[in-house]
Amino acid sequence: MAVLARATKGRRTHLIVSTRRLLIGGVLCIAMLGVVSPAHAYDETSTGRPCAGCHGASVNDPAGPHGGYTATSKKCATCHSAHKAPAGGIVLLPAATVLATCQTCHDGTGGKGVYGTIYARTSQQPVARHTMLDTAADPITAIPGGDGVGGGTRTATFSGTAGGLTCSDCHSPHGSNLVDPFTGDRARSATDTAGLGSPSSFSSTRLLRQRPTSTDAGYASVTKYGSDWCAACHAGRLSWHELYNHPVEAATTYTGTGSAFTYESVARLTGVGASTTELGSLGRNNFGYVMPDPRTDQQSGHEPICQQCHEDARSVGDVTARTVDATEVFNITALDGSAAGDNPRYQVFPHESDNDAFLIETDNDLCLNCHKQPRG
Amino acid sequence: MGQDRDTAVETAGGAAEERAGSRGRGVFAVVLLLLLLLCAITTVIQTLTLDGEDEVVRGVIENLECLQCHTDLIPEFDREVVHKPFMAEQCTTCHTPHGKIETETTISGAVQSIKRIRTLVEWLPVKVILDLLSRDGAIAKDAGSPGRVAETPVKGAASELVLPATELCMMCHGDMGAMRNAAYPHTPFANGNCLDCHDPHASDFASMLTIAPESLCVTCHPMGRELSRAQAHAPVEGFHCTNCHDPHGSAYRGILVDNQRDLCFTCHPSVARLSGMAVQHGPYANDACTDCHEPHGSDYMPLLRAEEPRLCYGCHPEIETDFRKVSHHPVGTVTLDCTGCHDAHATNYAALLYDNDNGICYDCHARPIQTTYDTSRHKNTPCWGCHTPHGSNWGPLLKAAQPDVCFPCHERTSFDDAAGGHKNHPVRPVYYDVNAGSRLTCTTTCHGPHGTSHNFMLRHYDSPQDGNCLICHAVTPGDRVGVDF
Repeated sequence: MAVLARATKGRRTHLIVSTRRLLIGGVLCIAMLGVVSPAHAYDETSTGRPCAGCHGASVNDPAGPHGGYTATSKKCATCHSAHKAPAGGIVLLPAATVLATCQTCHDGTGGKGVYGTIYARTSQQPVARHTMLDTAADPITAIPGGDGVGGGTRTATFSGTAGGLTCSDCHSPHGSNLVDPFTGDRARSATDTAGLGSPSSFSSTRLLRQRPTSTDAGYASVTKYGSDWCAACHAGRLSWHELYNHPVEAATTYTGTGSAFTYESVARLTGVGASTTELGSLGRNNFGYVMPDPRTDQQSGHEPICQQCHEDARSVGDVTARTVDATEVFNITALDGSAAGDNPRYQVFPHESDNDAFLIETDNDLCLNCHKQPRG
Repeated sequence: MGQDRDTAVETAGGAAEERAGSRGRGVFAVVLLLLLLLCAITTVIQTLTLDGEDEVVRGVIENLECLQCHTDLIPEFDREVVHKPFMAEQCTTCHTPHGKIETETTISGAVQSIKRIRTLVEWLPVKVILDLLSRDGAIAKDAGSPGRVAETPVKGAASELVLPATELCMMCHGDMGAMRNAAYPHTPFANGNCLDCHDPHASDFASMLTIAPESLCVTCHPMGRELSRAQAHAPVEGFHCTNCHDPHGSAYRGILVDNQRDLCFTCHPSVARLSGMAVQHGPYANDACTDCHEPHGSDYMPLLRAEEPRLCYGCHPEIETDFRKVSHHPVGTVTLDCTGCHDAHATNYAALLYDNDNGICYDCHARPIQTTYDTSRHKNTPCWGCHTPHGSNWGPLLKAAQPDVCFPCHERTSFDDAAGGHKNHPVRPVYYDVNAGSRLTCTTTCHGPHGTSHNFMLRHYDSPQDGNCLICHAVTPGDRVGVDF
């Protein structure tokens, strides 16, 4: 009888404990659901649920909340609150500024975003930043090399706080009027659900606007990402001006046959150690960052585009052969640029870099990717 | 001789002519008497053989002494109604018998004499016969008549009434004397001018009226204009004036036979039934039907003193001001009038409305509103929570401009873009609603205040579906519209 009584008491105690846990859990769930809060950074890799699972029409919606709107999709409310927007900033966003709003998801937490990625991984500040403060106190309005005539700095009014530069000056958060998709380096867990297994998932517009300075009149739309897109702001860096710039290939200055190089179409080496080229994307390999000597027919008459010098820092180009050896090949093994030994390492161009001026390599390594040493 | 013979012949001839003349006059007299006798006989026969003529005969006979001269009054006995003193040999009840002096000519004197003789010859035999036939030898007389008591020989310089005309009738009709002190006496009655309306001897009409009742009142009170209007009150149309008015006097204005409410209720019981209702119109409650209604005739149905809504504006000028505002109920411009919503007499609901709460509005707005409203989150808010019924400077009939009209219930800081630090979508009409093509408010595109089939009373899609945003922000790019403005 005593054994039976203990067993009964044990079941009862277990039942009470289980019930209490259920109640506590229920209360917590209700509290979490009941609290109105703005969007916060979300780690889609650790949760196994990509952002699009909630913010897109389906997990296969590559646009996530940034496009693909239909009457019955539920994306707008991801960023906008028609009433009682939490921060009371602009356009009913959850944060006070566009930059802060973007960073609620793309804040580099855990080194997987854009701004803050390098510091998150290395505890070192990046050497270069495409500075964007989006503050009233110190708005970024100066464009280095923005003067298309004199090559100097020009000022512009951007769409951020106090007319300063902000994310939406380059990106369209609504996927509106974008450049053509191009193959980039980075594999995002949001889109590459197969885990680096689908080449098509690297092709994206990056939500880049056709007119990066949309509030700045006088610049034509750019549909293909490349030098022309950069020159929408940094027009003074184009080579056709009577300045001491490195030659740059851009559709606006190209006078040769065929089409000018763009990010999606450059002459790149055909493989490791190769001295022949093919036309292809600059993204997802390192073969487009070097030029064999002598130049191939595909390279003849062409200049490098901006991104052939300015991109994520990486190791490319043999200093003597101007080819890519096995140790310099493109090598990304994890989503969101999270693997320490990958080449390139951070995949956050043009937001921040551990090389000055967003150069892919530093000092002679950069120049010798295309040029011979003067004296052997 | 010859001269004598001639003289004798002349004398004989003269005598013969004289005899012939005497015979002629005798024959004439006999014939005249025979004729008169024949008249008397026919009168006696007619009197004895015809039923219902006793009173007439008695009247003539009783007053034969007066009628010898006042022969013009004899036909009066033949009328429908004969004044009792006149009928009962009681002329002196009202008149002094002597002293009448008339200036006569020879001819008029002869005519008068003939009339007297004719009257005597014609009526005297009848008098004798009737006296013989009568059990007590005389026509029964109305010994109890008050006129006999008042018969006092009064001799004066001229024939006159026994009392002043303004008091004479009261001698017998003293029971009506109190009405002279009524609050609202009829002027002829008050002045003792009874003969303005009544004939003192006889009449063909009830109450001895001088003329037909349907013609009597209008002689002083012409109703032609009233009768020519679009609608005439039925009693007026039938000249039944005394249905409503007392011809002598009344305690009620207009010499009405009763107070206005009770008087009107006698013929309008449907209105009488409203008197038990909780809310009553002032004129209706205060016995002032004629504040709104014209009792005789009107061009405005139902016998209104003016057309709606002007009639109502007379007492409610502030309502007219409301109806002149930019947004107003179409009162007076289409078929809707004040009485489309209000009962002019009484109802059980505030403001004399036909129905309570939203019911009165649903009478017209049921189809587009009621179905969704009564199942919406606003269902406990009455229509007048947001709307004013008459007119407003803010359409549609709102109590305040949008979005201010929403904020008494929906706190401003949570919904007003001009408050709370830009935390809310624009809702003020300084912006343009590209979908609605009008100034932006809460309800132009986003919300349907009368209920919708979607949550949050959204007009087009459930929240958080993007259709709510795209309906404006996916239209042709422009300033602050388009998804990437």
